[in-house]
Amino acid sequence: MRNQFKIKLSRMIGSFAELGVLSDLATSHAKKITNANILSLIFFVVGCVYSVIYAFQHIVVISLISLVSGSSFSLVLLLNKIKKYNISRLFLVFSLNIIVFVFYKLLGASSGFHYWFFLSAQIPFIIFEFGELRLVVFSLVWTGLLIGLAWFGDFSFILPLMDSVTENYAKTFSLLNFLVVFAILSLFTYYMILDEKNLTVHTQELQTKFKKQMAALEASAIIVFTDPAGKILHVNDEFCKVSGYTKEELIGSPHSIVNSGYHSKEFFEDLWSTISSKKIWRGEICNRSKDGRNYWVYTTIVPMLGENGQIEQYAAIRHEITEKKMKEGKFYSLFHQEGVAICFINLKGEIIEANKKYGDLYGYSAKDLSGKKIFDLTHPDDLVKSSEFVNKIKLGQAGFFVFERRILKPDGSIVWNLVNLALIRDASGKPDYLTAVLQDITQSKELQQKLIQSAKMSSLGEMAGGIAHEINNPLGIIHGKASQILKMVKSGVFSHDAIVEQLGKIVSTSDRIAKIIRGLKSFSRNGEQDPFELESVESLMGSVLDLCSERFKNKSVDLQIGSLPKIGIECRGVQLSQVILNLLNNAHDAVMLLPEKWVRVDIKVLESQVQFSVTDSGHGIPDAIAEKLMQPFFTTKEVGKGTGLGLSISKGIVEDHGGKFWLDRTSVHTKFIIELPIRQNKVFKKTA
Amino acid sequence: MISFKKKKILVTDDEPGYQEVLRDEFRMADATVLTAGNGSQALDILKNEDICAIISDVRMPGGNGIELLDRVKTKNEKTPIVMLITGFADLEPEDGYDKGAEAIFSKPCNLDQLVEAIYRASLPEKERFVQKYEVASNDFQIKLRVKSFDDAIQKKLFSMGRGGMFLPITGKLPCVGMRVSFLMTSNLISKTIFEGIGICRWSRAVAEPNLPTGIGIEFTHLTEKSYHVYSKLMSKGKPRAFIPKGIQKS
Repeated sequence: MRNQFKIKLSRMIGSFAELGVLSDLATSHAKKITNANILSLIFFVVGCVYSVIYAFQHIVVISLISLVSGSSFSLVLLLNKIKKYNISRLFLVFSLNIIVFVFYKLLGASSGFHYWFFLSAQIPFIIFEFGELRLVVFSLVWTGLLIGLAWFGDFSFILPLMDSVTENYAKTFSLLNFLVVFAILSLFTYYMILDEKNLTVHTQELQTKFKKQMAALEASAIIVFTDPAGKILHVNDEFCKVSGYTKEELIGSPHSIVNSGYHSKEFFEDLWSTISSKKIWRGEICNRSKDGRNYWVYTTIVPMLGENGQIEQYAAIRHEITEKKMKEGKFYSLFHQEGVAICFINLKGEIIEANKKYGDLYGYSAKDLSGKKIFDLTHPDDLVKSSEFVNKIKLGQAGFFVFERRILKPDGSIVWNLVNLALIRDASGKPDYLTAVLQDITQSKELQQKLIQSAKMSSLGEMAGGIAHEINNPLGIIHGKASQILKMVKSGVFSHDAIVEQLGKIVSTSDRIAKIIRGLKSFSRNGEQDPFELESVESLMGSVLDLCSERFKNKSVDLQIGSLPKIGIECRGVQLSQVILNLLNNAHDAVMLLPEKWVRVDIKVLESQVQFSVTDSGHGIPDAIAEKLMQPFFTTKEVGKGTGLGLSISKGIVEDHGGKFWLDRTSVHTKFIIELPIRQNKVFKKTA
Repeated sequence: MISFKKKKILVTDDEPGYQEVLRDEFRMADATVLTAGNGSQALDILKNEDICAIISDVRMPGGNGIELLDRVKTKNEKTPIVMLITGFADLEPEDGYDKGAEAIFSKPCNLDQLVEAIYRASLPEKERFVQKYEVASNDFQIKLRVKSFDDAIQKKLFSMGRGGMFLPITGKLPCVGMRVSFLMTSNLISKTIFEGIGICRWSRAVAEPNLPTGIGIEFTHLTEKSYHVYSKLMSKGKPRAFIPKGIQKS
């Protein structure tokens, strides 16, 4: 019994030895244990020992052959650690085992089972060699089965000791075993061949795919591979094209061949410290081509690690961004030029960033301005207008606005500027921030004021012409009548009634002149510097009508005046009557050639406002003209007949009064409306 | 005493009072007076009536006097028109005479002078110009020697209108209203003289583009011989201008 136990034990060890080789293969295949070679050797030795023990069971020859066959396989595997296992080697092992089997038979060994044990134990190796994980499980089960067989059901190992009572059974078993093993082996071999074939095809596909991808990459980007020291190993055509060097010049040269000297030492130190710590570096680099042109590239440098985890190569993938950089450069210089003030404003109305000129305009340094509220810097009188534009833009009512407004500098001086305010939206279309481009127009504004003044003078001249006409006509009548009376009296032939009639006409015509002269009072002064005084609507309209009612009557234009409210307005009376007279004169001229000639003035009191409306029998003003109506120097009158300042000056006067002046485009007839506050509540400074 | 012998005179003025004054004045001079309130009305009347002379205001609603002047003179340059100016800068005299107006008056004006001017303008040319005269010492005297009058006009030495001429002179210019005596001698074949008396109607002291300095003279007196020179020149050109404001284009 003891002997039998020994045998069983030694057989088990043999199985473990095989298992050892097997697991060694599995693990080394999985690359988890690097010292697989040593393990392999250990199990080889165990296999030898097992065979020696077996030899002492008096089956010397079989044991020796077993030693040779079992260990040879381990040996082959050991050798194959160095080179990749392949199909041909597998067949070598397989044929080796066949030879051993033949020897068994030639030597007349009574049982082939022992051999088949080895043979079948090798199947998992083969499987493992192809590293499929599910086969690991399979092989473990298989080996376990064999171990179990060795312990409980293996009759063959006692066959040599027990005569050949059960030899027939053993033979049958052996044959069965052989067939099973052979079938499995063949099947796996077939799959292996198939796998190999697939692998080849797959590899080829992979290669093609890789080549295509590489070609795409090479075509789209500037690519360079360098060694860890920065020596160029490979460049693509794009690199050559942009740098102006040939491949031959570049390969082997240090990458610093394209260094432009633009970047600081620290810049490159940062770059190298990043990539040498195996991190990816991204950034914009300025390089220099062979012909000395600087070009900008957006660069990604990827450290490529070898199997040992060390940096083998650096791959740099680049895209030329020179044009973009140039543009950025242009925008930079645009932002920092001397002429125009630029600033970015957030939606809260705070300055995000302003350029130097902007700062100069406001009397601050550009830095001090950031964070400041834009409305804190605007002239109080322009606040309403400015905030109106800003709000309109924020609400998306317009993409941009151009308007003039004043800045109050910290030293109290006033700067006129032309603001071009625009809304910038983010990618989703939501309002993001505002850009303001300002131009100092103080000088041209002053010039414009002078121009307006001189234009006022010329319109005064024009008016003088009109007045001369107004007066000369009645004067002509008086003169004519008087000289006719004189003639009659001189000749002595006259009737009393005729003289009385003629003289009556002279008196009434003289009254007409007197009225005109009274009305002229309104124009004796500029009125701009007058204080705001309470003036009744009646006297206001009275002075206007004095001056123009004759004109209307003579040209048979029906001048209708609505009921005059009995209130006083705080205003500059002279200026206001000029505005109304101007409107009436315009209306008069406009209806002159119409079949229906009337002009109507209505005055309404609305809470704290007074509304004057001047309507004429015309049918509105075309949109194209209406838009420009209030602009200075815009006129529809023929050259020399109008300066085009009337309405713009009128608008200015009304706005100075804190009122509004507009063309009512909803009216069927041409209608201008002036809306004035009854009381002035703001403090007016006298402008110099 | 001037008498229009019932000839028709058209008074164009938008001012009813002044219309009345003129109507009375011309009626006293035995004229038939028609009135119009503006230029278009005047043109309507001209279509149907045989008008001997027109007096027109400049500023009028619905067709002003300048338009009327243009329309009448393009039709028949010989229908006399007297323009009345009320405001200044409505019509420059040099423009008015150039457009063919026979006389220009500013309101208020001397009615006798106005009637006389209309009367003179309605007279036949010969009767109007050929009058005996004597050169006075305080006349502004102009003497000019030319190769021939045609040649002088071509060389832009003067330019002739229906009732006067433009003389491009430099230096001291006569005042408006001053009497001017002129003597132009041509020696081409035989000695020809164009001489007479005129009144300076306007003077241009500062040259403008295409308009040299000079004076506009309205002829008041011409010798018989000079009148022939005048009508010879007229038959060639048939100018519309009463006094040209510049040199005629050749």
